[in-house]
Amino acid sequence: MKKKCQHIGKLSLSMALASRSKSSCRLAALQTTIKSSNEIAEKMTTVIEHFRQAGVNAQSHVSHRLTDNEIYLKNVFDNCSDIVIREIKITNNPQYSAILAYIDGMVSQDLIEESVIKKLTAKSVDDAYRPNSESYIQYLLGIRPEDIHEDLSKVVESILNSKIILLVDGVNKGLTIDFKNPPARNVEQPEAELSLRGPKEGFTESIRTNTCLLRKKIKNINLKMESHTLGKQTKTTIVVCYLSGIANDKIVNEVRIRLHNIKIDSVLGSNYIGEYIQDSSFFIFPTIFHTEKPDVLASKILEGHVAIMVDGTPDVLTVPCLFVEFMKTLDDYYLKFIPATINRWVRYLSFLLSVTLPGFYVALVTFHQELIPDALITTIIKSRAEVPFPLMWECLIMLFTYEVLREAGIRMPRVIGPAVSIAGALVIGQAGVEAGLGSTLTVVVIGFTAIASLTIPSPEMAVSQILPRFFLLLLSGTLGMLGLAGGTMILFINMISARSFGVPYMSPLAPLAVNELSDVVIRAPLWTMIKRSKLITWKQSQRRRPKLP
Amino acid sequence: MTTKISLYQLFAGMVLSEYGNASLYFLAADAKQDAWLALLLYIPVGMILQLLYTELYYNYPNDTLITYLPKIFGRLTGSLLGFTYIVYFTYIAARLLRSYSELILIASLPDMSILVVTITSMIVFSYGAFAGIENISRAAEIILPLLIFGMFVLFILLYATPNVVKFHNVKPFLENGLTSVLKAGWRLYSFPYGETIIFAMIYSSVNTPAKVRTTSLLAILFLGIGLSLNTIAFLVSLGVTGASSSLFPLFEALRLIKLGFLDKLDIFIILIMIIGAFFKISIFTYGAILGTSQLIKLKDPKYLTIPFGIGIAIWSIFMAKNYPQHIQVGFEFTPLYIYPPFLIVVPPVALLVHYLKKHKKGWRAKSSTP
Amino acid sequence: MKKIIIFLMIIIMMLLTVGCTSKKEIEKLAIIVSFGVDRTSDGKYMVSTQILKGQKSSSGGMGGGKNEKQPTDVMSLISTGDTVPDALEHLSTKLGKKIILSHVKFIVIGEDTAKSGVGDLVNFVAREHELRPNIIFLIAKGKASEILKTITPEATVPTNTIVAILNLQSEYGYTPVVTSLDFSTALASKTASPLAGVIALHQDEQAGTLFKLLGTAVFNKDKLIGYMDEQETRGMQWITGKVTTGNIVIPSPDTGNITLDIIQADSTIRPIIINNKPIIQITITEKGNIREMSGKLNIMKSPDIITALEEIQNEAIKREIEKALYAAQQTFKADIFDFGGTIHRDYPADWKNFQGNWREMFPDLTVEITVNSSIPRIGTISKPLY
Repeated sequence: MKKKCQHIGKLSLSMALASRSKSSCRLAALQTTIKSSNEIAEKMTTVIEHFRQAGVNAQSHVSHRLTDNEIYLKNVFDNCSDIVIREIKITNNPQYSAILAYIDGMVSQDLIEESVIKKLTAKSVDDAYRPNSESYIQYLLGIRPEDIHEDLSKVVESILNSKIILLVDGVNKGLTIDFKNPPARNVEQPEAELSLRGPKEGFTESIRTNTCLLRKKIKNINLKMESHTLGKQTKTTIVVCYLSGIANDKIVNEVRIRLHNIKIDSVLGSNYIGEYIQDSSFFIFPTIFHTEKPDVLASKILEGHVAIMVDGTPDVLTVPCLFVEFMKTLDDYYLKFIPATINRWVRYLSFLLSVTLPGFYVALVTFHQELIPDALITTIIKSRAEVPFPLMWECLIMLFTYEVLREAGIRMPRVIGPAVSIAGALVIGQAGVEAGLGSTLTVVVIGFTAIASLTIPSPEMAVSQILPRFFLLLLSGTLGMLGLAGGTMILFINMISARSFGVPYMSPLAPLAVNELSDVVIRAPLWTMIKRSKLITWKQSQRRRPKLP
Repeated sequence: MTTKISLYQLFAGMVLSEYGNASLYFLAADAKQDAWLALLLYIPVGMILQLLYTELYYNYPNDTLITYLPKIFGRLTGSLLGFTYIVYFTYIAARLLRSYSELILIASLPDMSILVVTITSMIVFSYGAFAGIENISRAAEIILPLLIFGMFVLFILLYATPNVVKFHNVKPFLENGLTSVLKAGWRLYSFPYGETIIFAMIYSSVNTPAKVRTTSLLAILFLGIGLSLNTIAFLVSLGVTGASSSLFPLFEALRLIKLGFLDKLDIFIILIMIIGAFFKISIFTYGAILGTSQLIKLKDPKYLTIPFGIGIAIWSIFMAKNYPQHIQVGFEFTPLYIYPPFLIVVPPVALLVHYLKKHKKGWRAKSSTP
Repeated sequence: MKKIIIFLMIIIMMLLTVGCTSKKEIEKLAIIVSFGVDRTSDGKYMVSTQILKGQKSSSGGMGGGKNEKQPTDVMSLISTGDTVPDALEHLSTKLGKKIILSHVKFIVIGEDTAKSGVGDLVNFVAREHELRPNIIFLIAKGKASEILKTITPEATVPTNTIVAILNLQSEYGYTPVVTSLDFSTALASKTASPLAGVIALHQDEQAGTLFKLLGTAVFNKDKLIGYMDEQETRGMQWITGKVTTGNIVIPSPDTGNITLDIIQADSTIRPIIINNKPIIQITITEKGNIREMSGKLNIMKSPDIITALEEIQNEAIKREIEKALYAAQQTFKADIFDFGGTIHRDYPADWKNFQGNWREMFPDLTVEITVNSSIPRIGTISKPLY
């Protein structure tokens, strides 16, 4: 700590202008002093924290004496009024004391009374074990060896993870009992992924529910669930699920390594993890797939993807992720293959149009009027006649208005929702055109673009289209078709060069793998899709026996 | 060579890069209505050149042109030759960029300054070269079927437009005899068939070396047939006089399409121009960059894109004062003085020297065994 | 990171300052849909144009009578200059919009201008990128500006009316539809004569002023030398195979006339060389249904009647063709059918000998005409009603 004592004279208002340099010098000195004193204060706070932590960690092992443990817990959970510490006597014998510690509301009260306290305070049937020994309680309540902790920090962790800790006088270990019943939401249909036919279950915020929902779908011993804990402050549980034997080991390993390298303070949503493990933060399109439905997740795991579940959010990540996955929905498999194929083509076309249509329209009408077919030329002239803005600005303003409406719509309370949407349509659309602020043709074009962008099933992809759309619009507005073509080329090459966990982002379109295309370009009938896609698994595997016609 | 491309990607790259550029011009114009025949007749010439280049490749399977020239000719001569090849690739890229910018200015954006067009285009093409041959080939993979489909549809529309297509425009057949056709097409050896020398830089990246020769021969065949069909299309619609007096006959021919509301389809031709130019210029720039990095033993060729991009853009602007001069240089100067040494002199000589060396070594080895 | 920012800034500055040069807002453009070329007394070019209007035109009612002003979507403007493009540019002094030519559908050339030579105009049309190769040339009987000024009652854009008539006539054959490409190809050829369609105004008592497209204008190189009437024009179109609909009126063997409805027609032109002299053989195949028949002839009685009628039809078509040939060979001495080209395509070696004296050979050229026509159907009644 460098001690800098600056002589700071009193800065008087009556100082003449001639000594301005002096006063500014002194002002600077004052500012540096303030800055260094702030730094000193910060350092002191960290030192105090250190001491406090050290004080907390001083006692690291569960001690034999119950009172020590009790005092320790009370210190650690200082000012936490929702911690409950109850003392009971095992087998009603005043010599055998024990305390139960848990967080109020997180555990099921009935079960505590029935299954723990009643059992513990009942008289022992025989004397096989000494009542206040670890073994007696362990075998009475059926506690797993890994739930018996010597380390006090683990004891605290268990309490924070909604478990009950049983500390017995004379036993230097803490026993964990799990009667978790935290407040949780019911399993219901997720709003962002609506399904026409097919299962409507959705994940919830509790990770155990989620893993159960997945287990229900895949009853297979090869479905592995590896648990990690991330987040210095939040200590969130992360579960990595995959089918061993089908998922590629390299990818699973890569996931483990990347998760291990995350140094983060808090994990509140799955995108917190997503941003750390994705290949490139600057790539426009998402490289990690999000889903809230167990059936979608199950189908992905069966393809060989690796899933990452985060406690506290129903949003599950899947890696690796390819562009074509965003264009598929599970509903395609619940319909017959011809309508499903048509739906798919509609989606691909909508994607292309929603990104390029505004740019194309502006380029055509502003730079290349010679290319407008005769049938449309009079309409276009008439519709543009009264508008004061240049076309590019008109489109930009309308697109911006649409984005504003979209954002507002997300947060709208249900009650005024319809009113606002009508207001949006009427005010902006109709009245704007009547007032001469926009032309009807532009409204049609931008409206169609907006609707086309909503056909993409995945919300991540839908919002990531906005940037390319604006980019292409700006380019077309300044450089015409040259700008549009050049911008599209750049976007295209960018998409082609991207990778998601080692797999090229645009497979199977580029590099071309013709036998994979049966599920991309069309949705081939299910009985033809015999082999599992090699893209993710990188090895040959068969889904089912080929059906003989 | 850690980059790997597949055979189909090689094929797509070869076809797209040449077709995209050559399809716009009236090749072998002196053959008049037999120009399409000239294109077909020169396919074997293109194939022979391919055999040459692939033969060199097979003798040095892990090397590109720049790295095996020093091995054949000795370090000093070889490196010097390699350097001239890099200059050649850069020159071709700059020429193409100029042709393409002029095209855009004539055909669609006449008021724009050439600086803007050149710079924007070069940014896109350098980005392609930056992304590397793997990504360019992947893009070629997807775009080739789309391009074929698009051209197919355009041709059908052209033939369907009433009163446009007159098949008798390709008669009289062989009016001045076969030799005049061959003579008229002599420039074809270099453009388009010879420029595939750039792929000598890329053969070593293919993942199935054994089939490279068949693929490249197929590509030449495909290219020749495609260009021939092209020529027929605009000959039958414009006639010989119309085609010879037009700067971009394919463009003019496709402007004749008029079916109900489907007219003014110029836009698709502009798209084809841009796509064709993209692949060719990106691949040539990539070749130049790769060669330089191999010559000066640089690890990662990607970052050379920026100086090369700027250099090519500047060279293309200063190359010719106006469009007629540019065409004249390309028509008279380059096929005589620039192309022959690089395309038909150096490769056979290199092959010859290589065989002589191998023979000498084998002889020496034989004579040294007791 | 800083480098990227600087790079982006340069790009953005460049885009925003330089890139807007080629931008043309559509409402600031004058879209010309057709124009006409005349010459003034002091040798300058006078160009009359029809320009699409930008205002939302009120949907006025279609009242009858020629005194009411009809709503239109075009305006006519005239300007003069030393050359045709110069005159087009002078429009800017009267119109605050930039001229755009890519939507021009046809060009009307005044009679006097055509007589003095259209070579410069054709050169301009071919060189100008915006003018498409399939715009149509028409010669006006009189001044082109008269045609361009007229607003007809039928459509709000008169150009579209004319284009519609032209589209129809490309099948009927009363006037040829000649594009800029056809004209310049014929002009460049050493032996063929260029043609163009003819347009005139027609005063109708009821409907007012209408356009009439009738006949052919024949050129010698780039100068107009004369006109062919509708019969001769149709004869010419028979030869070139352009006739696909229309009527033929033939005299009935009984009394009166029979009108036949052409449903299909084809022509083959074949040159043959006999004794070093070229002979052109024209074969026309045609199918025509009976549309109207006067007299008491009962067709259904025997098929021979049909055969006889077919013979008469052959004669009628042949006569039309002969009229055209006479006009071409004798009156104008111009190879409007491009027989020279046909010979060149099939007999290139012999053509080298004929090419030089084609002008002299053409009037005496032997043309053999064979017509094979048939009458497949006779309408919905079998025998005459009364």
